[in-house]
Amino acid sequence: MNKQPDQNDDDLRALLGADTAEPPDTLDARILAAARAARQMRPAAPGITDTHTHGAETGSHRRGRPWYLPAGLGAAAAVLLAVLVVDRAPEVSIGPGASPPPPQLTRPEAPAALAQDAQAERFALARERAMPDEAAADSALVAADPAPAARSAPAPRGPAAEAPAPRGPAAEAPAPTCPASATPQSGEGLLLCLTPLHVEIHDRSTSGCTQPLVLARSAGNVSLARDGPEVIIRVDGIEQWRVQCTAGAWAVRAARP
Amino acid sequence: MREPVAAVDDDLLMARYRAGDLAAFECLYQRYRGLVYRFFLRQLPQADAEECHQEVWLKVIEGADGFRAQGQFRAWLFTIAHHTLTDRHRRGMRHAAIDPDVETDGLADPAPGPEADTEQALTAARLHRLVAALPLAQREALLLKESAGLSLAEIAAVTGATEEGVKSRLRYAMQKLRDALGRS
Repeated sequence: MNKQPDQNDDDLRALLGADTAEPPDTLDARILAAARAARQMRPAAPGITDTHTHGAETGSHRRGRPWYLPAGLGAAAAVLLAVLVVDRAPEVSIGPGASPPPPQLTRPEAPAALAQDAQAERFALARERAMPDEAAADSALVAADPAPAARSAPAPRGPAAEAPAPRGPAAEAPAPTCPASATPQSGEGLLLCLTPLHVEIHDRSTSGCTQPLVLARSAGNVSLARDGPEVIIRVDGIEQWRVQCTAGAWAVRAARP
Repeated sequence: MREPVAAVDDDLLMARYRAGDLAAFECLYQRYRGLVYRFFLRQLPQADAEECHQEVWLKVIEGADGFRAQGQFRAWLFTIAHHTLTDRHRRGMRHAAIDPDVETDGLADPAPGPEADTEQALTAARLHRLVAALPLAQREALLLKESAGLSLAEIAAVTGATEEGVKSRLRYAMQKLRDALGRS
């Protein structure tokens, strides 16, 4: 305790700087999957080439909105389809023109990480705590839940949650349920599991899509409506997506901003 | 001929990512994943920290097309983190005042390593609890400076404070930590 304050400060800084905690691998995989999905679903930005320089890229920020906010609703919808694309790429077509098969990542360890079955970890991060505004917005949805017992099921956590979900005929028998951290909503043959950031969509028909579809969403009341074979998903009355389960695979169309 | 991504600066990596180069994003992510994660982990319970970490990177991905390089990717990244943290506090998500003398529920201690039993590891664990108990503005400034390595100017830009204000916050934070550790 005879150290000078500067020495003490150096010691403190050294301790703070020595912190080596890192995000879990599953979190890394999810984020990299989102990055990949976003690029696959959007054309490359025009004018960016290998010869790109700072000068070409430097410019004033666009007026009218904070510079850190997303570029647009379409982009947001595209990016946050990541979990869907990673987990169910063979089963899903996106939009009128289906995306090409995902290219392999350049780092050898990345494909393995991205190939993880995220069935059990879909909500590991999206296990949002009930927020007051969300709770109020979703209260009507909870009341309409036809399978309230499902909400009492514990959310997947810990090592058990890492195990891949069972597959095959035995796995198809149970009716779809939502994790405890999600608010269920039913309608138009679908079961939606709502968190503040995501909506997980289950097809309730026995012969439909066995894998859920996961989309990102903004806060607000979610409503469903059928339009022919498609189900329209709206948030606060604004159309966000049209989804359809065809031949066991989900087709999703994001609303144009 | 492309440069190896590891040698490329942040802004150019973002530009490459916008152009479809996923490896560029991976490189950026590798550079900052730990810094962003620890920024949250030292202020929130682990589950919340993981959610915020993911939220930040999804915003980076979403915002890639709107990002304009000015040599400030790091400040931009932590501005997003700052807003995410602020939103989290505003929503009152679970994070209450933390008593530094009480074992904190959910707030992660440094990952135990071979030195877990050493005095240094115990001091580090206590330090992290003390940091978590600092007022938000001081804690954030301290973590941005000492953990994330931002300059005073960058911290000022990220938090919307003046550089003098940041200095003051850092001074108070260090003083409190010194005092608390000196008492223990």
